[in-house]
Amino acid sequence: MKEMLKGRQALITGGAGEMASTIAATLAAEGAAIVLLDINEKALEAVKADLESRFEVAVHTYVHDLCDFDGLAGLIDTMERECGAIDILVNVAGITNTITYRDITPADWDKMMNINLKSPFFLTRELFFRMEERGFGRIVTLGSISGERGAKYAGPHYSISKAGLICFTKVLAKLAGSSGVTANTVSPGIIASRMTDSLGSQVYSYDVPMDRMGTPQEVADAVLYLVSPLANYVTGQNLSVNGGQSMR
Amino acid sequence: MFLGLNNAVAIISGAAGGMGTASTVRLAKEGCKVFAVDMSQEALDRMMAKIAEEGLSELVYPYVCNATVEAEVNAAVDKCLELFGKVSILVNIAGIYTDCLFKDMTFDEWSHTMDININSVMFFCRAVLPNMLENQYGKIINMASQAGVVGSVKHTHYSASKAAIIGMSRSLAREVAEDGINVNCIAPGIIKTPMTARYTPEQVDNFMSKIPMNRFGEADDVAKVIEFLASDGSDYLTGQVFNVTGGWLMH
Repeated sequence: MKEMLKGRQALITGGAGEMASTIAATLAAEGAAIVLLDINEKALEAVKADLESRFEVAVHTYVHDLCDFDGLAGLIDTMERECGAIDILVNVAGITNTITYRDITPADWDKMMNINLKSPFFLTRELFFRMEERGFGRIVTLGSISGERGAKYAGPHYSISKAGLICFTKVLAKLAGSSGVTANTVSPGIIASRMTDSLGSQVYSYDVPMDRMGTPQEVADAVLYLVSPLANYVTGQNLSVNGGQSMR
Repeated sequence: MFLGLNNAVAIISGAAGGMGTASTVRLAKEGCKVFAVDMSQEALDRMMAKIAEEGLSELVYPYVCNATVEAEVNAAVDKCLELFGKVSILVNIAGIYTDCLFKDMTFDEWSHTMDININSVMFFCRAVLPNMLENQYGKIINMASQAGVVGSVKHTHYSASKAAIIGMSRSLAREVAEDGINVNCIAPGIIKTPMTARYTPEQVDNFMSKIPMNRFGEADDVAKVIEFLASDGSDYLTGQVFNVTGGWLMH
């Protein structure tokens, strides 16, 4: 089934990262126009060039620090004015940090919460009500297995920020009601990527029934599913893409 | 784009019902052969008429089988293997749903629901497993229910049977995860059927106040989830329960 997203436009935050760019490519392959948002201009240009070489959809990029909360409304205004309506939002931007509970400072906590939880909270708001007015919207937020069940090796603040996003999705879905906007979460388990590479072998755990890590493409497939017409009756849900590592 | 359905072979139990027919159509449209099992010849005939309308007759093979009789289930799977050589996908939809307050529940009423709903899933999973293990590939999709997760008035028996399916599916998922076989459940909320058409306006309003999307599900809403789970888009997903409830159940 090709071109499931023809005529749609997706904004992907953290667009220059590995997960986000894989998601962007997966949505572009189905015909969605792509808008990428990231703080890293050079990386964004590289992703844009790659997408344009592989797909025939429009690709726009914006450089912005998501913790500049005052600038968010203006940013979305500019995006929609320059690119047209954004009807799909994929919240990927986020950081990890394995600092221990013993060593963590309030500043570490603030930084994590600002980027991982506060920024998607306020950015989504800029699009949510527009989507409601237009009668259509698909919001997918990246959670994590550590947000579902806690984690020993990921930073304690990281897990909490992800749990917050899982709840945020449910709130959005309840607020959206029958407006035509859905909100869902994808919670990856351990995914082979540059981010997990840097965390080292302690990340890998014995309790993955499939006995392997997942791939960014497998996460992107779940995102595609949730923003596609296949998921029209699905909202407020958390899709756990984790090889069986957590079953709830 | 989700792949893996073209040239796959799916067995669907309860194929002649609403969700079964919608799933058969969706999978066949993607080039999947469907071995459509149901206990009612009449219902299968009606289903095949719809299949013919869609131009999909070449891909769907109807087969009468009582899913609660082990020998019949084994014969059904044997027939599918004889015709198509493999089973890639198993969708267990067959089951019953009756109303009965627990204080009025007889053991017969209780065990009737338990036997049909649980055993049919067990028989089919066990019958297809040798072939799936041999091919190191399988997508098993079992129909649970919102009731199996959070309970439902007048459905102690039904909820228990659906909770059993969730437990069984998760355990089986762990056993066969390294063999390329995924096992997941779907938990529908209220899906439109001839039965839901008989709800009073009051009952409907009461339900709608709990469903964010403010509508009952269509059989095709569930079939869409089945299509995703049967495809390669779900390769790293196993042991999960997919709530298809319009937002009523969020856990």
